[in-house]
Amino acid sequence: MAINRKSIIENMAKIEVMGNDEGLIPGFNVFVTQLPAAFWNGFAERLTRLVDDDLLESAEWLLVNAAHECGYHTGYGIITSDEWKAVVAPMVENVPEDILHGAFAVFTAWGWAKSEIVELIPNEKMVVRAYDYYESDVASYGQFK
Amino acid sequence: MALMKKTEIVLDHQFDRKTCRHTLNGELHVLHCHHYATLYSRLADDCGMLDGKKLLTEVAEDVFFDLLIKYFNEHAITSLPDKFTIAEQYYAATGLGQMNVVCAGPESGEVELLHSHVDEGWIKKWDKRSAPVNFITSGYIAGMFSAVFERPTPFVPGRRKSKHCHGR
Repeated sequence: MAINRKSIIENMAKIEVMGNDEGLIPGFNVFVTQLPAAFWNGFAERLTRLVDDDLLESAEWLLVNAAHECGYHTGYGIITSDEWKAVVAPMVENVPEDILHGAFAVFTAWGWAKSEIVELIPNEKMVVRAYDYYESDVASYGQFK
Repeated sequence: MALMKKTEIVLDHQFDRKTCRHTLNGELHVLHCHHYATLYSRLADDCGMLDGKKLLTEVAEDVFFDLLIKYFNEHAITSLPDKFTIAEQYYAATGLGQMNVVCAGPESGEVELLHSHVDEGWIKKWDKRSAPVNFITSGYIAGMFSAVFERPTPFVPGRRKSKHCHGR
């Protein structure tokens, strides 16, 4: 595999992410924000804690759906961006394997999760392992169910 | 001639190579895009099982209140103009947009939103809409006013003649 995960994370994490004169961060073919993890976690946590037990599954599905749709559009934005072309594309030899490995290195650099693909059989199976992710920070003590 | 010194926010961005996490002034921050912010906003708007709009506004208010209070204390920011300048600059630096606090008092105020991640992201994704969609900024403004005036009682975001933000 030609993908140098460490190099991708190093380079992508170095990209300066700051609002321009309009307070916007255009990049990766999307508008980006850099917000406190407590904000994203706070809404998900309060939403799922406040709903009745019989609606919990629906609330969780809504959150997953938001991430799902975001992952589709942002993932596409990332793998077609100038930043990708500069850093990751030169390493891509096997498609789609290298693109997927490269994408998870970028997701890691974005601070979503220290995550990587541990098993990949194209068109059949993909196993992703997240070793550390900001959404796990909702518990400061003990472990949530 | 007296020279006016412009207050500039100090932002210390760090990327921890071991945990692969970003911090801004010591607080964990994470990159997301307008798809996620607008989908969260739509989720809040659609959420019939709870008052999702209020929930999202309150979360933003609480988080940004804490963050701004911490900054004001750590950097000895005490005057109202400096506090609002810092709040406007943080809002812009994190990519939420460009806001201008037109007037403010302990009971009310007015904020112009010149550019907005959520509003412009919403329009890009789904086109214009007459009803407000920017619950995140409503919460930010409420938290900002509470932090600036050091009032524990939450401000109530409104649409006109008050602290507000609305879709363009």
